[in-house]
Amino acid sequence: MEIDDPDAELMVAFQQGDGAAFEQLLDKYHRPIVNFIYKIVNNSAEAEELAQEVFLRIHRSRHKYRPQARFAAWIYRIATNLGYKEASRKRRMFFGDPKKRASEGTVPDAEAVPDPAPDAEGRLITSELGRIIRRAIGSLPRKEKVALILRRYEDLSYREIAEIMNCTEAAVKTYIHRGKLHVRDQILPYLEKGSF
Amino acid sequence: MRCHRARRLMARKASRGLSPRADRALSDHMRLCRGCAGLEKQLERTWEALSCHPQIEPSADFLANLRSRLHEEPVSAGSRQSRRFNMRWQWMALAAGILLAAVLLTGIPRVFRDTSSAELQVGATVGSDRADEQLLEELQGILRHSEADYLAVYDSWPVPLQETGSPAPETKRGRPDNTVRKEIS
Repeated sequence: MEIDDPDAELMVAFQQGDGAAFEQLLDKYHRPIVNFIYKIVNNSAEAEELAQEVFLRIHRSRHKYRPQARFAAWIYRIATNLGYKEASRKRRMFFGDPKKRASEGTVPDAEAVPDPAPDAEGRLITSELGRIIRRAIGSLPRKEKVALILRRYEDLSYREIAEIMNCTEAAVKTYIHRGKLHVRDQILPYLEKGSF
Repeated sequence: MRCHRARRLMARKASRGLSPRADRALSDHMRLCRGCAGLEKQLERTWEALSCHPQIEPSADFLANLRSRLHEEPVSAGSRQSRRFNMRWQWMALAAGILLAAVLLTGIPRVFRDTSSAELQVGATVGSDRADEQLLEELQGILRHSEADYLAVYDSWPVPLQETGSPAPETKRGRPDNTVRKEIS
């Protein structure tokens, strides 16, 4: 079963040796993928590094692609898996350091790992509200975070998110609802003040 | 309806939907309860507020770096993959060798010891021809003993089966069993 997706057609063209098709995909997706991973790992330098790895993997495993789902779902699946791995690695590093664990005393969130590239950070459109939202999303549990980001920012369907996350659509909706509740708790003072 | 029940229904509505009856009950509660109605509005505003998340622009050399890595990719990836493949085979061969050695060194003597009787163990450990012959004799004795047990079972079968001219049950070697009986006796 093939689907009507111009990006999938580009990927098929790339499979058949059309390098320009891959360049088009790169141009279209490099920004969204960097931003998607940035929301997961909360670090711009790591996000760029992982986004490069996503495209390298697509390049390497181009023969494995089957146009049965949207290309976007495939690329976000690769990016999600890489983001998960990176988050797990960070958690292992955190739990592996008893001094750090004792000083923090909490489960690590994205804020616990400082961004090593402040210059890159300077490129952000910084605002108070943006910072609050960023922190709230960074503190979400992994599954809730990914489901919420894929739905809210990447505009994927529940079905596509379920495929990416290897779960049911109902589970995706539950993650998103819980994520919304979690973010709402974080930004409640601002909601009450009417800042949003 | 109490608020905690209403909030559970809100969560279920978001994930799986509600039956018309539950949906009506929730709507009734929302109309009456300011707190739950407020929560629903807050969740809507939270969803809108998520748009404030800052977007980053990839660095200027992002694409250039990526293209140079992609350019190196076919050679490096291939060699890395084949190296990884070879390494994996080397490890698997090593593990298989260790396993085989362990089975040979520990497994087979143990099986041998288990199948022989306690007295045979003494003979088995002696490395001379005489000890081997003794071992063979004792093994034959055990075999004879087990055949006798088998025949004892056969003797307990009902008489008509043996004497009504029906073919005698066959041994594993395919000969009629009474031949074996003669040999044994």
